[in-house]
Amino acid sequence: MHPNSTHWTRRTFLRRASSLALAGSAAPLALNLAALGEAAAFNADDYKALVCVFLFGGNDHANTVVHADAERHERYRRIRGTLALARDALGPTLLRPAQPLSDGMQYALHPRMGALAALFNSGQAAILFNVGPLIVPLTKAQYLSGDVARYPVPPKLFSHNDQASVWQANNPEGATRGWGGLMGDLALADNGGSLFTCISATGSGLFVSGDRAMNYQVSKNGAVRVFALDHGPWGGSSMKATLRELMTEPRTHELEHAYNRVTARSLGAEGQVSGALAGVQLRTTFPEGNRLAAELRIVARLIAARQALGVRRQVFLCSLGGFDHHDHLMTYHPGLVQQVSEALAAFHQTTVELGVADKVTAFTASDFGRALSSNGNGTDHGWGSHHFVIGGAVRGRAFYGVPPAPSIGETTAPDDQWHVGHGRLLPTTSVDQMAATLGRWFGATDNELDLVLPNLRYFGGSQAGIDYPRNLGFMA
Amino acid sequence: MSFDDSDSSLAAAPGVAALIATAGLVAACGGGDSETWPEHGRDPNNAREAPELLRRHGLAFSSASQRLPDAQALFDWAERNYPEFFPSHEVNRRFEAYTYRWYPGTGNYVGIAGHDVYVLGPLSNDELLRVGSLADFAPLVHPRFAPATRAQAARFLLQAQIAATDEDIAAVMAQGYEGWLQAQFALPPGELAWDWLEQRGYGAVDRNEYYDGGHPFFDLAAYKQLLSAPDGLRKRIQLALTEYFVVSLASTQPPWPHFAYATYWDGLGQQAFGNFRELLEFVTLSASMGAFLNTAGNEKEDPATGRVPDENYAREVMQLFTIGLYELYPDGTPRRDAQGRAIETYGTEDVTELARVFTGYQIDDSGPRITPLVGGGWRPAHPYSRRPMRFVSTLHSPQHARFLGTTIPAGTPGPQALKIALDTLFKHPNVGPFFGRQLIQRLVTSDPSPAYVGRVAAAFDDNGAGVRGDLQAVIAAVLLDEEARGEAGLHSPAFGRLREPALRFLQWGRTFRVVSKAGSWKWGFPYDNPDLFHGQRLFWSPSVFNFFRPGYVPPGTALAARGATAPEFQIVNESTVAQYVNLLEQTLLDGVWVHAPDRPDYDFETPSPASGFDMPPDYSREIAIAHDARALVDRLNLLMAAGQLSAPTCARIVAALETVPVDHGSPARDLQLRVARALMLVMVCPEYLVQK
Repeated sequence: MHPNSTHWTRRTFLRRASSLALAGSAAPLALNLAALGEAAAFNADDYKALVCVFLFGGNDHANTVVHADAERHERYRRIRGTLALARDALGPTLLRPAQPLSDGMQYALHPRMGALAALFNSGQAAILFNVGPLIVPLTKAQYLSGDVARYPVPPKLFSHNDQASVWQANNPEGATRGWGGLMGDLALADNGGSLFTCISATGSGLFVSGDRAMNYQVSKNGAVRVFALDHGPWGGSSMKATLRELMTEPRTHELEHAYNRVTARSLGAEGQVSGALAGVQLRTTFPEGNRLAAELRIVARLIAARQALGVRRQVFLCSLGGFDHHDHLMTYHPGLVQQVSEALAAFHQTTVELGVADKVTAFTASDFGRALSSNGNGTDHGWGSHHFVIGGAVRGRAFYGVPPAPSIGETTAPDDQWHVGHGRLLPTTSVDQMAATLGRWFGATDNELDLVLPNLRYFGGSQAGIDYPRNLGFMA
Repeated sequence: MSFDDSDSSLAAAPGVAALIATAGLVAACGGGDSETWPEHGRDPNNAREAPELLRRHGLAFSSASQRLPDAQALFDWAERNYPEFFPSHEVNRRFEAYTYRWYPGTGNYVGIAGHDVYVLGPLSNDELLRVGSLADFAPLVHPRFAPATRAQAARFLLQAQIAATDEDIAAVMAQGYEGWLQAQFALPPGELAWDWLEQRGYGAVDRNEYYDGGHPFFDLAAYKQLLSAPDGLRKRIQLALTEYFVVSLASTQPPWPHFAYATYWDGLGQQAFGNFRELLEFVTLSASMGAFLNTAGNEKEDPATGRVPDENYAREVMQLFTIGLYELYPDGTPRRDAQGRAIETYGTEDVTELARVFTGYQIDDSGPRITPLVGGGWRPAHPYSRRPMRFVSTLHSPQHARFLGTTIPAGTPGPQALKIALDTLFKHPNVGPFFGRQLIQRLVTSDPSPAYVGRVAAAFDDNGAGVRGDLQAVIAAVLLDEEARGEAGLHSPAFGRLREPALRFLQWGRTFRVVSKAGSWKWGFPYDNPDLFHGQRLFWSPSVFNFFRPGYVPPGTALAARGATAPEFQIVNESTVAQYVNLLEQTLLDGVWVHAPDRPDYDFETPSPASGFDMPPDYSREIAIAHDARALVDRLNLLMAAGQLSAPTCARIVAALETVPVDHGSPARDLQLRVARALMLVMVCPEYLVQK
């Protein structure tokens, strides 16, 4: 499956990654490979996992993490009209950070997200304000200047497929390596080159595709067995060998080879996965009729089977679709965020049950946030969005980043400086900062993170009164 | 692996029979000999013109620059296509002005003198006839225009439609590629899906609650057409259009969703051979698309409430349906600025302003109403679903709309604004390469060369008669291109496309004449299976981005190293590849098992004595040769893979099959088992899965 994978070391990764970075970037990376050779973060014999929960379609963040103090809620209500959530419904999901926000500012989660609010309030979850793709720290004036040479803007903003790709892989559609996969590359040697380093429970998984770490895709019921290989096609057991050979042999044609490699991986892994999962019994129940819960459940089962699978570091991808609420926001969004809330709560509970709550960190991502303005019964595409980080190692019961004011005005007032029209948020925290913070916890060094996240080097300072730290501090 | 590439019985097309009758000829052995061209035909100048004898009427796509056939190619072609006249394979001879062949079986001569072609013998009542110039024959003889082998015909058919049956192959052999295309273009759209649903009672107001969503009834109408409709090319293009102008039944749909989507599907079929501009307008105003991308219910801005027009359709009509995100050269490669950055076609402001054009539209649910049996309220009676959206001028934005350099003045009436907007999009130079590349990807190859894209885009820009957007010209350009027809692709390690999972099963069904015995076509009805065809439940795409993206590059492959696109690989993973083989095992032997095929409904609880294999394959032609494993595998290789399984692969399959011997007298079940096993071994082969 992975020829020579045991010879694959972090050092060769770095060499390869740096040559790629050099080829694709104007600014050469000054990289001291010898110094990096000392890095040993992954050599520890503990276990850690990152779990990305991608909300496809662009989650309406303003109705997910909701203004709850009277003044800001009123401003939000006036802008949103019929799309505003009533303030008096927000009591049970009010967020109570350990350190209250300044100026009486308060937030609640959507009323249907009680389970996630409870995790926040018990210190198991944190919220990151206004996260989105950035190449460099950017003010509104810089963005509007159109001077993309000095103030580069992420490609293809507001486009679903491309922004989903940029979030996962720093590049628009056509990208082949996500930052979760590249972190998997770093961990690969210490994982014995395991195929189970990067796993998608949700089909095609750009986020968990690395340079060397393959993206193993598992169904919600585990690995799928090919029954015809057990007994031959309709009992033709003498044909089994030919059947397997045709399906798995190397090919000279590139597409044929690519297909057969997936099949070979599938057949090779199936027995191991099924065997490892056979002994796993979870006590925690996951909600029924919840696709995300079904995906997180198989992730939890695989984590439970980590020793049998021989892995110490894993990156997972799950997802839920249907968030593109140009219409029917008030009809369909509540059910979706409820699913997210309940699925994440059940997943976290399972990690507690398994004794790995502080070894597993889940986080949300999405194509983009949405405009604050209403288009009648829905909202249109935006940019920055609020996101969740959940796990025992999270410095929870806290907000990170800069809370954006509820405003859609086109004035020079401070409240209008962090949206680019109709309340589409201009991110004050980049995806790379969020990824770097997770990556440091996962075990990557700063230098490695610069390779995994090529724009990270533009962060670390501050601009226009906003700090852009390389480490946001939300991980213990 | 060798193919019977002359197969005279199948090449005897109706046209030839008619021709023989018209000419009043009786094929008979005549005199003459091989050594000389007959004395009375020595002077080519004395020949009488007989342009119809060996040629059908002129073809629309004939190219003046076509390379001329040599004598060898021409005579071989004549032998293949007119075995009544030229029944054997002869060698070239020369006599004075003529290069010729003589056929002892019929006594006929066929010869070339200068640049003209002559015949003489019983077929011409012994009179010298000039049957045309070499240039006249070029489009027929050149492999681009006429297949030399049945494998070539099958290859073409598997790009142009869903399957290649014996009859289809014979038709292409007889008509040539262009003739076949012309014949397909001329076929009227068959039965409408809407009418079939109506006939099947899906407009009833009863406990099945057909008026609301979530039911797969449209799928059944589509399966019926895709498996049995005679207009195969139209069906293939129609299906490709559903993956380009995506509307998903999994998302918001108007009442009676199966009828609304049927109207959409039927319209795509009616427009498939028309003009892109009309197609775009049909798509834009259709109720299904309106509900899906929110044009339905979209209203003008309201400064009092801060409400703004919905941007969804404005964005996607540009990004996905017409121009894409980057300025393109005519060959589909992106234009770049001085710094090497791709130039974006539009910005946020273009979207915001164009959105105003798409305000004021609503689902037209006027007319008779029905009362749902559960939940109260009302729905429009189902015939409403035949109508496009209605326009309500008071809800249309009166503001100007500036986009892509065009300004629609403030106060322009809605229909006129729409016309300007769609004309602007249609005339954008990106449309040809943007749409053309994706049509190539759907039908021929995943990562076409810029030159190929450029040729298709040129056909989009001008069909040769000054018309832009003529879809017949675009389809012909895709399918007749040297890259699609030439042999080079068969030997390249990078050419071709992964067959879409759903298409593999439809191909099987069409090839083996699968029909629903009960007439209900309930494929996928053992249970409510959202993953039927493992990741590609047709018409139920997860989003407007289809099951896979045209720009998808599979990570960790040789393709990724080159940045080569392979869209279908987006749904290839460790789970789906295994599910595919399991579904083959469930399907190939006895066909599709259906719950309650005698009823139209969606009720899985109530059993039916009719439950069973309602959609069985007809393997009679295969069973007839099943005792001969080699013949069987050769046949399946031709029908399923256009002969693209290599000789060693076929030999391995034959050897595997022969481990369970059968003979002529074996029980029918054993012969059927052999056919199913052979099919499974063929259909798991990567050489089958990747269509070249």
